[in-house]
Amino acid sequence: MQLSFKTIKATILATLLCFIFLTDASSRPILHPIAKPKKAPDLMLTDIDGKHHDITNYRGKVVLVNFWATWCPPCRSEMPSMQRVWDKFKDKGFVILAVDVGEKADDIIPFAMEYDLEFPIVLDNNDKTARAWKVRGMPTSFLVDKQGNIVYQALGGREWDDVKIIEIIQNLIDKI
Amino acid sequence: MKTIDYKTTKRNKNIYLFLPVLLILLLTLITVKKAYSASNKNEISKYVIDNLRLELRPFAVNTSEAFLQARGFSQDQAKAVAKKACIHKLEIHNTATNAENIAIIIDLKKWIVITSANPPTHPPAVREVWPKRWQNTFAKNMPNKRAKIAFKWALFPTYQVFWPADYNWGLIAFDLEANTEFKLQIQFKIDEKIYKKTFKNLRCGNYNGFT
Repeated sequence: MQLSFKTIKATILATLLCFIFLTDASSRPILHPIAKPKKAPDLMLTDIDGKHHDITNYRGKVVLVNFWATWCPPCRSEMPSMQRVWDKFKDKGFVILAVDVGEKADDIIPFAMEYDLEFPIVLDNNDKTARAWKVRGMPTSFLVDKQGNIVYQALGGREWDDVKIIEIIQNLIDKI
Repeated sequence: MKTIDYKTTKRNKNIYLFLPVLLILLLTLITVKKAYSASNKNEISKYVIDNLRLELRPFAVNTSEAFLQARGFSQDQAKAVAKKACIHKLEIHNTATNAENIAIIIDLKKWIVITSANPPTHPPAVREVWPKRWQNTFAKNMPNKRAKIAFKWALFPTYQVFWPADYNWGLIAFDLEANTEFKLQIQFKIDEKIYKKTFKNLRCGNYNGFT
């Protein structure tokens, strides 16, 4: 039996690509769209560098609000992808506010340095903000549009630089 | 067109060499997976139905103590809680896709711990019971605020809606002594339909392990 080696290689490659594409498409993490977007609750907190953040000052920008803690494994694992999405959009009307619940800056700084996190990490020492946002488990994330409405939410970690999520963020940034 | 003869070419020989290696790798993986499953038989309970995936894993008492101390509890406080809480790690996933748009609702207050003790059933110790418990048990030696907040958030939420791709993990306390055997009846709602499932032969973690 004589076969073109190139043909065999191409067939194997095509099959593999199809398999990867199909499995990837079905397991891809997604965000839950809020049917009736509602105004984001107050968020006025100080970050680990001592800078004050008020979410209302970010009107006109898309804000990713992420509630987390350093001892929460899924929270830790999504942080590198959050940094990548920050790198991609930070100068394009996009803000991340990572709200650490119940910990001190001293607990967080080594973690932030280890993971090279550059986006603002704000401190919700008494979990008042988490309760106001009706967070039940961590990590929980919200995407807030330019008008200050919560339009997407996610419970559990995500790969924030996933193509589908990037597309959602880009659409929100582009939306007038 | 360039053609090759399978029996004679060098590339072909490479393929024949590669296949047995692949087969050995595959067999090794299967063996390791089987051994791993067998060694964890009594430790991890897994349950999959429709779009819900659930996993329950007991913490050894020492693990619970270490976790609590790392969150800010004193050694005595951590010991007291870990000894009687029968802490497990609970993980729940909604594996549906956005297109299916199926919500799973979990309400831990409807879960039932079943033992041979008297009374034979009680609910898990959910977030809401702990503030009163801190007052009653540690009135003179109250855990600090930071520890209590961390413990609250480490516990699996009492009530939660899981939308497609959502998942959560957290601790669940069954209020039993170390090494106690028990059953757990869980309940959840998928698309307005109520499901019940009873896990048998569960066991609280021991001091250095599970059984």
